[in-house]
Amino acid sequence: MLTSDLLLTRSRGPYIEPKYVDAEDGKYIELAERLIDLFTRYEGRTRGQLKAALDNHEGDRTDYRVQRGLNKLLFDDHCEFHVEGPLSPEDLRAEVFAAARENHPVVREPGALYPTTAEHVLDHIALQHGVARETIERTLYADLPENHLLSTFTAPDANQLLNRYNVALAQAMLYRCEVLHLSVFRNLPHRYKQLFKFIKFYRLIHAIEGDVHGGYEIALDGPVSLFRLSQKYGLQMAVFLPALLLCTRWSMRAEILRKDGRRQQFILDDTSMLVSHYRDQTLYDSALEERFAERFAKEKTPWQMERESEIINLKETVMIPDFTFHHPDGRVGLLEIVGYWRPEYLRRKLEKLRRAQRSDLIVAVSSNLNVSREDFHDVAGPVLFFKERIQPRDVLDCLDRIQPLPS
Amino acid sequence: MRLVFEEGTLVLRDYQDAPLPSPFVWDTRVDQYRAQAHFYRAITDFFGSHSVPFKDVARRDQSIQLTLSTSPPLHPHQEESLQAWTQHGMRGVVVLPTGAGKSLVALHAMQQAGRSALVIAPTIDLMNQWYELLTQQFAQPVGLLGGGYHELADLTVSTYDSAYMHMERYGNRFGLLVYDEVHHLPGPMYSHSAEMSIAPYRLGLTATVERADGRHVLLDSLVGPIAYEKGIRALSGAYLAAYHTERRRVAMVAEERTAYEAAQQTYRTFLDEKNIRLGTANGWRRFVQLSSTSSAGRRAMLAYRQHRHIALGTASKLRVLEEILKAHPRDRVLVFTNDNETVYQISRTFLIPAITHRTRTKERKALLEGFNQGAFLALVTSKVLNEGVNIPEANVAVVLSGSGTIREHVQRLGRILRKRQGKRAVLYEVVSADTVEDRISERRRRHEAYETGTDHSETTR
Repeated sequence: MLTSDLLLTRSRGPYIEPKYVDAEDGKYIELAERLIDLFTRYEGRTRGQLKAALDNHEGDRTDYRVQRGLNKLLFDDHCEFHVEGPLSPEDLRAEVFAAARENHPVVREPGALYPTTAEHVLDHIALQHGVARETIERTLYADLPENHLLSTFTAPDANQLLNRYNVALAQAMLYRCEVLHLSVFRNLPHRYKQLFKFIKFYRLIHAIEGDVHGGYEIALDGPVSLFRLSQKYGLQMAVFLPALLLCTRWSMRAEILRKDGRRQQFILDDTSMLVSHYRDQTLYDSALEERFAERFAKEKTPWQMERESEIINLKETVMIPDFTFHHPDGRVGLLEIVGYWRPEYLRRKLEKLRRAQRSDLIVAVSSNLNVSREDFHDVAGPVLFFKERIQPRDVLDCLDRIQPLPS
Repeated sequence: MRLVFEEGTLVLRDYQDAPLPSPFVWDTRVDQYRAQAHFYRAITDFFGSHSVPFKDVARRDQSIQLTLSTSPPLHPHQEESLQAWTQHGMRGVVVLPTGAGKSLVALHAMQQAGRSALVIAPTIDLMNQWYELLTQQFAQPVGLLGGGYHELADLTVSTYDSAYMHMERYGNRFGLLVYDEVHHLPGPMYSHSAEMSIAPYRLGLTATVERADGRHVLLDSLVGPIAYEKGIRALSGAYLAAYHTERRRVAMVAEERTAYEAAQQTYRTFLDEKNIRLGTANGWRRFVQLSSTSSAGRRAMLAYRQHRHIALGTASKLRVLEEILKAHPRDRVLVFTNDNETVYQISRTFLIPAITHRTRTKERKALLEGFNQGAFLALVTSKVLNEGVNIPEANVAVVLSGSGTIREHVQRLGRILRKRQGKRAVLYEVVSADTVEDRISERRRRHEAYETGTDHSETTR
């Protein structure tokens, strides 16, 4: 991630956006390649030397902040450093300063009263360790970060670095975000699950409006946002962003508070060229779901199975059913599979199902789980127990019995 | 109806029709009433006086018995500040100069409050120092939150950063908050730590409340009013060591003067061409803007930095430092610079131990102890020892370079003012004559503490 000072922005009226680089532009590809090359050539030398070379490369070029951003990502994600030498710098310092104390004050221009210079002290120590004075001088502060040696550099390719930089710019923009408005439309359940997993993990609070047909509006902020808008959750939003990028149809509006107190909006959607570096979850949570989908596809029935999912808002959490079914006459049904769960998950799942109060939500429960029909007595929709596999016929029976939701 | 602590806020679960105090707001996101945690006392008082039945599951602070293991008698100003704080309902800010014994006031306040307490300090250094102090003084395990530690106890020490990050989880664990150097608190981010805690008792300590951004007015609601205040002149001599300040203006060596003037020429020409005046608010912004859009602007900006850098780091200063070290061979000398590069240069030149933000906890502790015991007679540092670090033996401070802020300068002076029998402290300020640094020096000396002092100028060399 970038630090805020490396964020470059462009303002247009009420809008603000990062100055992305064109990852296909030869100019930037060349710049990225030169920097990557420089890092490669400085393997085995110190961080300070590498930094000086990078400064030198910057020269009086006006794109120095782009360079520094790329450098930051290269340093953070592609470099390994270590401390040089067999002597411990900390022990050596203790030794050197103690010797200097005996001759205090150590001076540069020796005289009769104070005859000792730093060279005298260091020569003496070097003799004791049987090394050259230069080794002592180098080791004295070898543990400072600028004196660390670059031992391994794993070179990315230029395009990959530029893409990563663009995402990092958008993330840095969100450090100053007070509230994040999302629109998501007809995404697959695992994408929604992924999205809400991150929302929950970063302890953001959601407010949701809309439905499966028109799409959902989701506002994200945190508990104290109720009292005063705050950038407290900006960092959490920044790390959340790559999860959003994995969705297929979405847009985002971030309310940004600038340093000068002005508020602007940062807008982004699925047409942007930003590429997430988070790994996309698998299409299906379990083999169970996948096999069910395969078998259902072979059934002759007017019910169409879709994976584009509904979000059931339970306020503090959400429920994302695994399958949605559409009938040509307009009826809709949902299916949630409760397969292999640990007791704690099972308890929470039951709690969610009870709170959802959805008569159009079919629950398929594995009979291997330690639960009985009694546990589901206050769940609104049909409950279906299955042994090894979920039979599409049983689900279709339930679907035909579903009462339409009062609208 | 249950009152629950949740992520730095108070939430009412199972709400049944009942009168509610004003801090509560209906949160449609979760369909619950929510209030900021720092209204805890107001809320419970309200429920009490309106006979509203509720179950308090928010509060998790503990009652603790604290006894100071060694208790030196309190000086009058310490006694008075403690009383004033108590009279304000154990809330409020105590303003005393560095070295006046603020931490002893805090220890007594903790003993008096008798509740689990969190001490919040601005740096890892100070966090460590509070940790040592609390472990020495109270027979009680002390927790650490920050600097790589995440251990909670009924007495815990933290940093502003960590408190800001973690108060949403631990804001219900403490009945007393002690903010050291409390002027850091009112920033838009740090202030969350005060708002997210239910602690009814709060104490803020500082030598100067004022902030350039004016936000110190928020301290009243975050910690409480200024309960007690006493200035540096009122305590000098009697409770602080006697001191004088001395300014040495040094001339740059010829090459430096040439480079300085060349750099100055470069950026001034550019500014003149663009008709920019740096003294104005807009001027600096335009300069920064142009430096990222044109090569000439970028060169001018680099020249501007270089001319400042030369003025602050001139080689002649090392010569003066050598003279000062020779003049104080048996004293404990602290050397301050503006940047770490110079710190390490001085450390290598005179073989003096260095402390910067890079120095690790263990070594830092050893160096400070060594300095106090006389195992080292000099220490060189940049900014990390500006605030509150306990080095009572230091009696000579040399400011080789620094920022123009009064706060930094007063704090550096404060480092050598801890009272000791017969101690006489000197602060040297070394300034490059006839450079931009003259003005920096003028700015930082605008404080009552510098009204006594002598000036030594070299004009040519």
